[in-house]
Amino acid sequence: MSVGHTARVLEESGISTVAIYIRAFRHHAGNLKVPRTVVTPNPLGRTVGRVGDVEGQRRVVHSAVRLLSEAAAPGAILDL
Amino acid sequence: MPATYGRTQYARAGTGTIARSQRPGSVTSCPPACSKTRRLNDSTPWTPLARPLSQARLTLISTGGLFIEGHDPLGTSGPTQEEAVPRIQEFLRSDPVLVTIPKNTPQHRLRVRHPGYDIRGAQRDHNVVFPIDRLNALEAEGIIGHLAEEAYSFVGATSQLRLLKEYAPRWARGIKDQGVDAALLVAA
Repeated sequence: MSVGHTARVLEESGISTVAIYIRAFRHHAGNLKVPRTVVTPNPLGRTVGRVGDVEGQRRVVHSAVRLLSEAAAPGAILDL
Repeated sequence: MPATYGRTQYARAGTGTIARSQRPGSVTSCPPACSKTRRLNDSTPWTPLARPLSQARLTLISTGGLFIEGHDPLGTSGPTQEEAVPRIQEFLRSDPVLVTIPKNTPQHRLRVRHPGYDIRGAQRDHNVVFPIDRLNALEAEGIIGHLAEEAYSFVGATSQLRLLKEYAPRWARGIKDQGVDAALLVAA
């Protein structure tokens, strides 16, 4: 829950946020009302992607930063 | 994230109201008729990105528990990963410590310790929970305007109440003062 709590505080302080969660913790995004969330199908401990998978990691991070500008409403969740 | 999170007290940001989760690993959902417990959050905070992404200043915050070799946030006698795992309850009661990591820190200088997940992937490639190399590349490509010089990490297994009421607001002020427009947060 730490990411959701921190994202909310940052957002309330005037900093736009996007959080990356793994699917197993997707419920935190809704329950905590996280402003923008990207959900990955990866296992715990590899939120962004596989070890050494530069292209896969890049897709996740690129999707996340794009969501910063493309999310139309609070609570946006992008499932990858 | 460990199931023991469900036993940790937490508070609604900005209000000080406290709720307690009833089931490990879950957040209690309180129906309107439930008057003795309170909803965790009723609304979603929202700050639109202040400028186009190609001009924005971003930072990275990971709850993966990274730090720089020789700068253990728990001191020179900080626990090893093997020692930290059985002490997760102690972590969950402790204050979070935000570690500053310059964006060009070489991978071989990064260390990871976290009692709540298997850190072996992050030890081999920190980008799996701390994707600073991917963000540096997006900055070089001009997709993001600026990557802030300092990125951050802390151990997500920490006191949620103190994180909300004391630490995150303090961190937010410091990050805001650096002219940061947006933060990418990674849950580990």
